[in-house]
Amino acid sequence: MNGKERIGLFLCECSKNISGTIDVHKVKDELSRLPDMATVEITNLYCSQEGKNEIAESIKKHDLTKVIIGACSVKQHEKTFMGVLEEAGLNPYYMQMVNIREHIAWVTKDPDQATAKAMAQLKAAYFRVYYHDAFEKKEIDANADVLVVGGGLAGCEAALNLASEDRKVYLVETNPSLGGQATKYEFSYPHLECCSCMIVPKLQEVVENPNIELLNYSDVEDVVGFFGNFNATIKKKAKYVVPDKCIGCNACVEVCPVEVPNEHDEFLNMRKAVYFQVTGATPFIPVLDDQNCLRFKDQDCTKCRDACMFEAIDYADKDEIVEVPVGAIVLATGFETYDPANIPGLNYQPGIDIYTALQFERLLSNTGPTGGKLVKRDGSKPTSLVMVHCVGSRDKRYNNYCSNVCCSALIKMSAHILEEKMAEGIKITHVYRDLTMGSTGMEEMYEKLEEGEVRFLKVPNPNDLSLHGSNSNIQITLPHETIQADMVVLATAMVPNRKSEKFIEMLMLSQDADGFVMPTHKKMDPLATPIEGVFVIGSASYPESITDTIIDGAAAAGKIRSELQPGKSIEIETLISTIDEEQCSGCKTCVVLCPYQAIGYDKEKGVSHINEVLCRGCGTCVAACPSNAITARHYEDNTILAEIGGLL
Amino acid sequence: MTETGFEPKIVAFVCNWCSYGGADIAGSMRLNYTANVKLIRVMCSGRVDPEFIMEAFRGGADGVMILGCHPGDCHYIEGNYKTLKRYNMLKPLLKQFNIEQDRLHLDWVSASEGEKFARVVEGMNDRISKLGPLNWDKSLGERPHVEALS
Repeated sequence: MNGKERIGLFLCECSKNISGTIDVHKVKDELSRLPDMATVEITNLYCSQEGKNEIAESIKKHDLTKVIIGACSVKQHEKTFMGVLEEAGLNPYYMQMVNIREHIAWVTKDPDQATAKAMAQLKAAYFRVYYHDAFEKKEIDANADVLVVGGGLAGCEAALNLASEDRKVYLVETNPSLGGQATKYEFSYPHLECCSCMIVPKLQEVVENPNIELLNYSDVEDVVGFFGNFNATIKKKAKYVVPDKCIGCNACVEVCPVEVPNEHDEFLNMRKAVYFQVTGATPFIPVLDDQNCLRFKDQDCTKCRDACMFEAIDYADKDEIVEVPVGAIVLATGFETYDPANIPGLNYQPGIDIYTALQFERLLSNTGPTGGKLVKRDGSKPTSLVMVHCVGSRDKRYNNYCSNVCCSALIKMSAHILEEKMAEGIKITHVYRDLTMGSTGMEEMYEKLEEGEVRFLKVPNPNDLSLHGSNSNIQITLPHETIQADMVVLATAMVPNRKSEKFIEMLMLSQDADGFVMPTHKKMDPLATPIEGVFVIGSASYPESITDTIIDGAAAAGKIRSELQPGKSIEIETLISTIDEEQCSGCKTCVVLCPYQAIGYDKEKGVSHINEVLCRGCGTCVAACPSNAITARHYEDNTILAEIGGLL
Repeated sequence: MTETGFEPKIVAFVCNWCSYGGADIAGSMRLNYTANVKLIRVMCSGRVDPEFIMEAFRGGADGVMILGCHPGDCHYIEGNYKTLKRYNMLKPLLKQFNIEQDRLHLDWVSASEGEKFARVVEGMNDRISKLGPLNWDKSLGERPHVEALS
């Protein structure tokens, strides 16, 4: 009511959907009387092209300054009508839409009550629009390069789908070799296809891609910044092997006198201090592990350097810190497996013929500790094998979720043993609670085993079994019987990689109740995280099969490609919150409240400030500010108070 | 309408992402519920300043609702938890203003819960109908909107 505004109200009949209940003509008559109301119009369908044209023409004809639209849900047509304003030369934020269809006409029986409610809601909008300000869309320059953290299959797939001539990918892997946990498997399910035959070509593609900078044996130390403009600090650990000179001949490895437990073989055998993490590692270059090498323990050993014919060993190599600017980050930190020693009844102890499923994968592998022979620790062939499902899974005491792939993995390993006749006459028994196998072909594989000699014993909870005995003679006490085995495999739960904790903290992400990285929405937005520009793929957010991991990697790449295009700036949220420095007392209440870490504290000025790229405009800080120093655009205190006034 | 002819005035703050959507679905399902509850959309229930609630009471509302996303589902991660904290803080204070605690109600309505939206709104209407009009303490100031309407 300032005599300056010229407000237009447009009432949509929505083909009787609205006007069948609400007396739009009565609304028009009443609200036309309000001061500054330049025009109130009614049309059958404002979302039609004719309807949109009518609004645009009216804006020009009446020289409208503010527009109210009484129609359907903002979810349906707010953008439509904002576009109409824009085309008519009016700032789109000068509009307020009122849902008189879903919120009134469709839910109110009595036409008089519906009409009265519509008038109240439209009046609230009328009071509100006086406070509407014009806002311009804001764009910032963005870097299209991407940092992928984790060189397992998920990370490699993402990197391959992202890298192009105008987009560089920095792929950081903490281990010397690419491929992650999948490099430990001999066969994949459901076709018992050779795993390394499938994955090594893909890993090699990564190494050869000129647009991927591979930072293997490296760790991300810090990340600062925001979507479009992150800066990552990466430590390249000293490898002491010059990649350009090394041909991977293995001479250094052979002569190394040090032996340490082999992580890749799940500690079933030993490796050297200078070593290939994986037989046929990608890249095919060994590294020297300075935690175990004698030279770094004050001993003057030069055996590897002496053995190298290419002068590729360089003891003077140093860790190197590099900084990479990127626009987006993909977290592909994968999983590790649960320690079965935490489950008292299983009496798991290394050294006897009880293995975790990952250890057993190595035992079946041609590149594993037994060269692919299925033998017990004493070298003889097993005659009875018991495979225990759900170890540490689906049990509140350990991990309350299903690890998703273990049933399929155990069935795959059973089929593999029988098909390859790895131990003639072996009796295989599965002790399970439920079989959860969603992958194609697994049902057939299970049926074949079940019809054959493999026994499937259902128990209430495999974590309640008790295992006793010594090497090769293990008694497994089930609720109704005790069975004997000379080899036991425990399908241990997949748990989040402990190394990912650091990133969760660094990037200020959330964890779900099970410790996995929490995406924006587990169903509808499972790859994005609440921190814009940071994506999570593979088993970092839930135990996944190789297939799902590959899908994740490609899908995240697709999302980044569409959101972050080389050479293009990115549009940022317009309706954000802002801080009035004059009013701010520097109490920092808002700083801790912000879910996006968008608020920082300026020590020099003693005030808080909002990063407009990170702010999403939720307004939580505004409501909490004791000095009334923060304003939420479009949802300012005065705007909402006016709306309340109009409503009542 | 109650026997006394009292129609409560209820203001409901709904968040853009969940409860506004819940109200949309209630519409799509053609559920019938009271017209006494009127909506104010905010981006997040975390935006609801206790001042807005008091202003609604002062302005003539007999009841105020805050409807947000379910815990864990907030579009802005945890705005609804902030609301819950403020709600728990404000509720006991209402007594000091001679406002019955039942006149303020917080609930979670997801964007799919049309039926729940209608149910919580009806429940609020029933409670406020029983409580009767808000006996606003005049020492706290005038209720300008009530005057304007009468």
